[in-house]
Amino acid sequence: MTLPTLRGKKTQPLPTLCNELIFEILSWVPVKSLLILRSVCKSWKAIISNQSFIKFHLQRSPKDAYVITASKHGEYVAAQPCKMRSLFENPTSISITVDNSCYLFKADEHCFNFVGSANGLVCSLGSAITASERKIWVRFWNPATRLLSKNSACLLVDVTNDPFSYSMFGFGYDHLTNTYKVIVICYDGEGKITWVKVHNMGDTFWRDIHNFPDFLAARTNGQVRRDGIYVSNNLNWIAVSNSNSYKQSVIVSLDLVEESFTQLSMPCAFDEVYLEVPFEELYIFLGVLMDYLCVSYDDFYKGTNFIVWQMKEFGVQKSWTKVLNISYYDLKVDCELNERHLLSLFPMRMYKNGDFLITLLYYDDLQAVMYNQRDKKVELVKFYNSIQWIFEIDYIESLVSPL
Amino acid sequence: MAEKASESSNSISLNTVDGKIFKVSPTIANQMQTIQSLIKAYDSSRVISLPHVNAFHLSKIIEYLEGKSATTVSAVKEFEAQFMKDLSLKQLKGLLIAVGYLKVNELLELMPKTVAKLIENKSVEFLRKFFGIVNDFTPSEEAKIREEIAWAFDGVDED
Repeated sequence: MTLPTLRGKKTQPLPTLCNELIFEILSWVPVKSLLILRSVCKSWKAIISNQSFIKFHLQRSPKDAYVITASKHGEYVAAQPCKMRSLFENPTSISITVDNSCYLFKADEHCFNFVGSANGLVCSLGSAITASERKIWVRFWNPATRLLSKNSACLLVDVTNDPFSYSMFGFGYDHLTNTYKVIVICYDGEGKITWVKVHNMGDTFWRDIHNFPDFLAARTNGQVRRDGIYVSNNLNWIAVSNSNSYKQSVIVSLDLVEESFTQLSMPCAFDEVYLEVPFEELYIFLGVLMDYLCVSYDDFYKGTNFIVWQMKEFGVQKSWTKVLNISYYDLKVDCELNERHLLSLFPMRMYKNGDFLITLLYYDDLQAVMYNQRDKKVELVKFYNSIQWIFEIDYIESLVSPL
Repeated sequence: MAEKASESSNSISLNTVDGKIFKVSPTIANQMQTIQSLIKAYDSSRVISLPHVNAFHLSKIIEYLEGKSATTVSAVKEFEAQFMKDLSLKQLKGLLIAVGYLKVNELLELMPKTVAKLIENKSVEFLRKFFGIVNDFTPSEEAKIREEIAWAFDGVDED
């Protein structure tokens, strides 16, 4: 038998792409296509399932702004992510159909809420209440891979002694231990924190976080989102400092790696407004605009303006910058003062040129406006009209498994 | 003129697998890491043979490196887009293999992204053929993976 001459001038090795190049190529491919590409061969499946690939791919995931939308379909509520661009800028391009891309739940079955999103996972919260206790559980959902975890272990809250206990929630990512964490902060009728619990995704239990500072939960109107805002590895909530003789609104920040709390101050100009208004009636929202923590509020009693601040450097008081100050007159908000509590405004998006997309919820009527800051022009934005709820959650597509 | 003369005297000769000799400046040659290390290892006056690279691919790489160095940031972007647009998927694959072999870092960043965009909606069968991959799944294993994500196959090209 003669061996083929490998060194012969005409023979060359069959050119193929090495695994590193395949890895590079696949890291730019969107999630949906990658799910299909897993069936090309075993080595591709191995690459796509690999944890470091998933992380690498996540970093390259396009940073399109998504929101989670929910709409009623008969007795069901269907939730799904929607690109903000399509929702507000090109509403005819989307159609929301109820299929297995949606997270479906029965509208009357239990309360639902979306607590937050990190690295493409969305945390949904369920709760059920009886006379003596309240059950809280979470589920993790990756809308891009359509995987949904089972219900987590239940957190049982005894409500016999304190029927007025309330909770604030938060969901974020601890990059040091690669853990996804759900936080529940429970407070009594006075707003005083009674306990803080954390659940690591994948664990079967909830554990305590001690050493929370002396703050009061901001007991605001039911429309206000009390979920923690995840920025710079911290979850942030609006709260009220309990240490001064007068109650001052602050931001309470939980470092998800250290699991320790700190307090951040509000923008300086904020206190004057605050002092005039009982904090139950103050409409403050925390949010994220262009990756920065932001706080938005309106001067309720003066009733003139909607104001947004951005914290340009996380944790640095001096870095608070006012990015929007618009009068209701300009916003064309037509709302009687005594119905003011039925209106809530939220800055959905800030654009590089300084324009803002603002949503207005008045009773159950959701509207959106685009505000052009340079020309001071306000335009009503039409959007897909069967959507009842929008959760302003910063979602991006990823392969991260919720299971 | 003097500069040009010195550059040509320093130029490096590259011999492709199909027997074509390219003379390139050291600036261009040094952007191909594999060649850079060969120059260090050998006498630079020697002709460097590239058994895995053909003339078309090498000419494209040189065209890219020259085109890129000559212009401003926005012009580079435009040049890159046109450069990629002119290549067929098959040519891209061959070029990427050459780029991987010669370790042209600039193109190693740009090309996978371009290829990714092009293969996004291609069928599994197309990709196996295209990348020269043998399906090593058993039919039942493959069916199982497909079944798990049957929904994702909507909108995939029919080859």
